[in-house]
Amino acid sequence: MVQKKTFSNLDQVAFAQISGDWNPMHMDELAARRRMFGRCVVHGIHLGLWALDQLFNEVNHGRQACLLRWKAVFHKPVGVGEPVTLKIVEYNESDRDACVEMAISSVVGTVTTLKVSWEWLKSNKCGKDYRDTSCVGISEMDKPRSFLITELGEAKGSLLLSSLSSEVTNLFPGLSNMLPNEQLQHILATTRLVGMECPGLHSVFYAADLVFSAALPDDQPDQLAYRVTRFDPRFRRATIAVEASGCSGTLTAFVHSTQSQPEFVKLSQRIRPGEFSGQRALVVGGSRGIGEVTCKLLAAGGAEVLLTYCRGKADADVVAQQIHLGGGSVHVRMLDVLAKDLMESMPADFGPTHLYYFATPFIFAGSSTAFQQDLFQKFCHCYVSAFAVLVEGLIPSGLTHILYPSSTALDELPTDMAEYTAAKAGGEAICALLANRHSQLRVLYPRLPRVATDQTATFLPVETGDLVSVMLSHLRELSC
Amino acid sequence: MTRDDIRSTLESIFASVFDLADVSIKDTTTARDVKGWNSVSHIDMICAVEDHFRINFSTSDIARLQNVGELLDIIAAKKAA
Repeated sequence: MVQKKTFSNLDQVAFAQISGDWNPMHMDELAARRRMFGRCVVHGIHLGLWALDQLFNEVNHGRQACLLRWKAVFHKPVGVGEPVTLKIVEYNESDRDACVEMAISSVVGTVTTLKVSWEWLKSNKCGKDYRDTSCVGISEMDKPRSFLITELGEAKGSLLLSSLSSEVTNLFPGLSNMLPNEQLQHILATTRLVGMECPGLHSVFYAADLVFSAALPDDQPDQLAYRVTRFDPRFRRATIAVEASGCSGTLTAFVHSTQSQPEFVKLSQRIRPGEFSGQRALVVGGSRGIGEVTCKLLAAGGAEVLLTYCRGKADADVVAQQIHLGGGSVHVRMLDVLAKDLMESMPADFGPTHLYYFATPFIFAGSSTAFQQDLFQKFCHCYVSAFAVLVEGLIPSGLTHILYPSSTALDELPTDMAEYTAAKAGGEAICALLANRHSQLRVLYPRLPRVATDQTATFLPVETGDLVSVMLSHLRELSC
Repeated sequence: MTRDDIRSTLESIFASVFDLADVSIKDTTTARDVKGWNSVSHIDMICAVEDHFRINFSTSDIARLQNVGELLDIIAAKKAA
């Protein structure tokens, strides 16, 4: 059996409604772009339940079942709108029980693996039905909790299981027909626990290993108790023991580190007064990361800065406010370099002398197994053609200096960054050609070391350069 | 514990963590050579190695690991200390 699916925003909402996991990583495109995966991603539990639902639709033949074990690992994220393929690796069935091993893959390889076993039932005797009980409802208004890292090692508590709505039947008809409601509730509760409670806001769900048994009689609405049994601060990795009536197991989740850049006032202390004065600096992609730091450094040195953003207006406004409060000069404009009318979007009253080009799609979207032509073309559009159009369009109004940061990835050639490195190499070639074609242009295209930004966040500890020192040296070199 | 003993134990850990039936590792083996060895499962592997050998890796130990040979060296050094 091979099944394909592309999860949509509507699927995201439907799953959030039944699970209660409204974590912005899944639901808020703007917030998700600043997280590790750079875009909204499908709930891992949604992928797993969808996979099992597909199988159950095929094999149930009117039978009912009771899960014995659910083991899921969410190896890699799946973005909304990215097609996935489900394959049954192995399926064994007897009159008494069955087990399956499934793999879900996308263009980047295997994204989720699932091992599930269950026993067949003659009647639905292993579970309680919560549809008519007083279990807690789920509100879209619920906001994810955010544990302090220092508190995570001691975290414990419980979640009331949520009542199953009729939407569950629509979303997972095979599972709804075949499994006791409480088992679905337990599995759904794990994503709400990780995404909304513990670790909550900055969590990344990695694995779930649940063992099921017969539920104990209980008059109270059931709940899922949890306790963090281990938190490893090196990887920000939490191991969480969970227990409910008829279910126990272990969840593994990571906590994403939020990356904020230094304040304008602090950066000003590293700048010589007026060292960038006289520059009219266009910083494309200045709302966060390297672009944000560049805006602040230039403004602190007396440059008149035009900061452009593509989607992060709120982030850009925060940067601009900091600069204004610190006495710097900055204007903010929306600019999408991938737009057809790129030059028409440029303000006519700001002829930049200097261009700092940081526009980029999400960098780490590649795979070590397949070259993605669409991704390569997207990178090329941003790094090569849009850049060239912008430069040629700005030269008549006085552009003389360009900083086009590249990356040491072009020296290291990571196998999962082929599209990025090939396109960025094209950008470097365009820089060299522009400098040859226009003798008045001074073009720098340094290969920056890895520095700490939203885009480069990882679970593994990696050495990063000091972003401010790195950028300051290049800004000063360009201004000489 | 000899280097070969450590290697043999590591092969068992790799098989368990990366969910493989059979694993054979050399000093030059890297993540590219082992199915399922990615940046996240690498963390699982590190934690499993620490638990089994009752040692702790520093973040600099982890950051500079390039291949299985270096992992073997660090384990051997920590067990000998």
